[in-house]
Formats: sequence, structure tokens, C-alpha cells
Amino acid sequence: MIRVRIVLFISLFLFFSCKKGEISLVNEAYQLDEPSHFPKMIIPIDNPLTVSGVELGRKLFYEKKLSGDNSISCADCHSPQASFSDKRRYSKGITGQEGIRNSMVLVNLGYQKFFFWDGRSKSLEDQILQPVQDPIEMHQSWTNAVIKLKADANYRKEFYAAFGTDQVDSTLVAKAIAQFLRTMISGFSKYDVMYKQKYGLPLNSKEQTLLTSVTNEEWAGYDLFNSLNGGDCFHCHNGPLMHVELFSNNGLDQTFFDLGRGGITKNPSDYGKFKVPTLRNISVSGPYMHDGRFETLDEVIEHYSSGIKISPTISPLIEFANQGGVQLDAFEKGLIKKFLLTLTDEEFINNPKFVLPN
Amino acid sequence: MNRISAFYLLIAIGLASCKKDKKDDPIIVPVPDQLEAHMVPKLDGQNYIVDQIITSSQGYRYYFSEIKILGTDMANGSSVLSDSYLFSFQQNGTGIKSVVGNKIDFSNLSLNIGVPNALNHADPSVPASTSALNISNAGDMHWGWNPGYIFVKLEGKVDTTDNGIDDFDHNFLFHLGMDPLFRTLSFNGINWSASGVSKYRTNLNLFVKEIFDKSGDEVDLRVDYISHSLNNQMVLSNKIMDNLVNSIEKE
Repeated sequence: MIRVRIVLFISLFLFFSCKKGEISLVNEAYQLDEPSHFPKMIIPIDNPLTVSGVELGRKLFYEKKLSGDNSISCADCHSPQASFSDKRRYSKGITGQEGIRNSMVLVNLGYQKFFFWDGRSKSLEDQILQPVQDPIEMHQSWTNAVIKLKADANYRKEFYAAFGTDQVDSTLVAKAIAQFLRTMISGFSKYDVMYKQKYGLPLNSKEQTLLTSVTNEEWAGYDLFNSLNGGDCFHCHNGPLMHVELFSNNGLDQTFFDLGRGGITKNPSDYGKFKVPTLRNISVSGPYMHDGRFETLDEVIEHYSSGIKISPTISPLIEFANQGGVQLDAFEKGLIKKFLLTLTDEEFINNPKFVLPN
Repeated sequence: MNRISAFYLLIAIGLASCKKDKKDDPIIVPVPDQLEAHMVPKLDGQNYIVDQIITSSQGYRYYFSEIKILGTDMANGSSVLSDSYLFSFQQNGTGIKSVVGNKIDFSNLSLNIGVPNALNHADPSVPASTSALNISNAGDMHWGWNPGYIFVKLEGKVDTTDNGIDDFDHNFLFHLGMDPLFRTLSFNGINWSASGVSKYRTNLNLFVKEIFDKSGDEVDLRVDYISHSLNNQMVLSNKIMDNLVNSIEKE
């Protein structure tokens, strides 16, 4: 009887010792909260959003170890209070050196196809890789950055939880931060309810309440913004995301110190063109333009009204360029400004999910 | 002895019961055809490139900086090649659609330039994320001031000085949309030429000079250089749209 038991034991042992598939990592999918009037975000197949991935990305976004002297993180040039842009005209790197462009806002990036003012990155993951190595930004090799992160046992655990490996590398860092950035959706401002109302889209009770607070002047500003003979702004700024995927020369200069998109494509017809930014949260994201030359919204409006400069690559969409701009009077400028202020999304700016984790 | 035999037999069964990688007989899976439709701008028998200068029949010069067409329902009867497409010459080149299909099903092809009335004014966030009509793909082909899609965008510059010196000082801009400008094209005997393994391509040629320079229906860009398809611009808009439709031919 004992022998029979031994035989059975050995048989069972051998049976269960057979190689099976590897244990899969259970990682809870992150449920993205997309506004009903937004298009569905396309998430890269190789970087699905997970709860642990997003949380890791958030931590890395505020991680100063990503800079050469541990002094700055992504958030230093992309502050939540500025809709994740920089209040300074030019951001400063670890050596105190300034760049030549204003930091772009980080909002609704998951819906965009080009990144940086010159569009040199075609994915968020690729975009994230660049500032760390840039000598006038975070100025650190990825090799060094990864060594610092790997030395932290908590990070090793968190990378394992997010990606099933503690073999940290730059790709995984970029993926985690990209996951976090994709969650940063701004879609609850006065503009959003005005947009939905205009398109006859259903509003929930919270949105209905917000809609009642929209003033006649704000509606008039919206009309003027969209008017061909008024602000004529809609060519480059429209839709639920309040921007279109374009590179444009908006008449800032007659000659170009910064070639913008042309510096990437080397095509003279792209000289002086820059990515059209979203206008969301524009009231808090100044200074404005790729080089932060305008401190205030009034200056921006004045530029489009009377400050347009003609150059060979000026956008045909600047229809009134030959008369210096759309020539708004003071009242109209005020209406446009009031409309621009409706694009502020307080919930986004103050969202606790986007701030420095405890 | 029997017990020992039984012992070894059980061990053998145990080992043999382990799952091993089976070497299955190869299954031949038929590779579906990949069909690519292209819109190929042409000038004087050659492929046109963005910013290439064209001399009009009236002698002035101009060039296109952007040609975009948003359309729907590429199909042969009930066989649908695609429910939407976007030709964005500057950004995407000539390709307008690449789909899996059987070329035999598409020996004839019809397509709309523009979006049918029933879809034109609907929420642009609703179409599938792969659809050209989804706002994230349509982008600037959707109007903010007039809920609806822009069907055709033609933008560029004109040299109005006509003195032989490059001075493209004048923009032209035609944003053609609105329901009355919706058009349908049909082509019989579509030629799908092999472009790779199980890949077939058909070209629709767009003769760019015909858009503004069609004999008898010329558009003088020095005078008529803008349209947003407003009511008072409809005569011009219709003329350009008709010229455009007539300038597209199958290869």
C-alpha cells in the first residue's frame, strides 16, 4: 500500500511539474474618463493604461532624479497651476541656461499626433525621451537616470507592478510618463458646455448648471471668435479640443530667428511655422506664442487684430494679413477675451490626481 | 517484479502526460489582398508636388500649398471599400485608403466628395476612431462656425506681379463644404495593379491645373481667391467643385 502511494505521489509530482505558461501579471486597467463630446483616445497597443503605470508615471513626472543634478523634474517647466506650462518666457535647465521656446501646455496630449512646437516627435513616448538628455534642459544621459532609479527599491517594485519587470530602462520610464500624461484630460469648462449646446449634444445636470453661468458677452465672444469677418480664429482653433493638428506661420515675424517646423523638415516652405497649440486654459498658460513674446491675452488679440507681419510662408488662413490683421475694435477685442476666458477648466487645473503624489 | 513494472509504467505515463509543443502540420492561411487607393496630383504628365509652380493659361503663376479632400462611401454597389477617406496631400502624400479586400469586388468604384447631409451636421466625435470623419482625424476639415465638414480645401499662393520674378504675395484659399457642394464620382473598369505580395493599388489622377484653368470655366486667382462656401460665394464654389470633380480620372 505504501508503495502504491509512493507511485501515485511520484506520478502526480511529475504530472504537475510539467512546464506551464508563465504566470501573467495582473495589472488593473486604468479607466480613462473621456468627456462625451471628445473623440475616443487612441492608446498605443504596446502601452495600455494601467492603474500602476499611471501612478508610476505621475511619480516620475515629479521625479528630480531625472535631471543631471537632481534639481528639476518635468513639473518644473510644466506647472499644474499653469495648465502644465511654464510662467517664464523661457524655461531654465539645470545649469540655468534658457531655451529658445516657451514650454507647451500639457493638456489633452493623448489626442495629438505631433509634439513639441516643431512637431519633431510623433509619439508621446518619443517626446518624453528628449528633455532628459537635452543639455540645456535636464542634461543627463538616460543611462545615468536609469541607474538612479534602479537604486531605489520602491521604483523597482513599482516598475515591476506596472510592467512586470524591475529591469528599468528609458523606454519604460517614457511609457509610464506617457500613461500619466494621457490621463490629463481637460474637458469641463464653460467652452465645453457652449460647444455641446451649439451642437445639440446632451448636457448632464452639472453641465446644465455651468451653462446657466455663461454670459451674453461670452456667447457674443464665441460668435465673434467663429466669425469669418470677426476674429476669424476658428480656422486653427476649433472643435472639442480647441486646436487643429497644423503647423502654421501666424504672422509673428518677417524674418525668422527660429525656423520652427522648417528646422525639422528643411523645407523652406515650412520656415517660421509652429504647431498650433490648444487654447484650453489659455488664461493661465501665458506667456504666449512659441517664444513666449506676449505676456497677456490683450497682446495676443492685438497681434491678430493689427500686428500681423507678412512673410513668404504666412498661412493663407490669416486671411486679413494684407491689412495687418482682422482689425477689431476695442469692444470686439473685449468680447474675444471674455470668450477665451471660458476655456479655463478649473477642475483640470486643480485635479488632485495630477499633482505631486504624497 | 509486477509492482516494479507498475512503478515504471506509472512514471512513464507521468512523463508522457507532460504537455509538449506539438508540431502541427502547417496550415496554409490565404493572405487577403491589401488594396490601396491613391489620389495622385498631376501636372503636365508628371506627378505634382506641393509648392510646385503652375503657370495659368492667363500667364500668372501660382502654387498649391495644400490640397485636402474629405469624402465618403468608396464602394462598388453593396461592396464597400471604405465608408470614409481623407486625402491630405501635404501631410500624407497620395494615399487615401488602404484596406483589406478583394480587388475583384471593386472593378468599378464610386466615391463621394464630401459628407452626406445626414452625417454632415452630426457630432464629429461619434464616428469610429478609425473613421476619417472622427474629429481627431478630420481635424481642420471640420468647421467651427458652421457645424459640418469642409469637403475640399485648396490653399496656395499667387504671384500677381507677373514680372518673371518670384513674388507669391497673394494667398488663395477655398474651403468648400455645405450640403449643396456634395458630389459623387463613378469610375468603371478600375485598374488594380500589383504593388507587392498580395498588394494592389489603384490611382485616381487629379489634374491640378484643371481645377482653376478648365477651359471655359477658368478661375482667375488674382481676383477670385477666397471662398468659405458662403451663400454669396456659391457660384464660385460650385464652379471650383465641378472643375475639381472633372479633373479626377482613373489611371
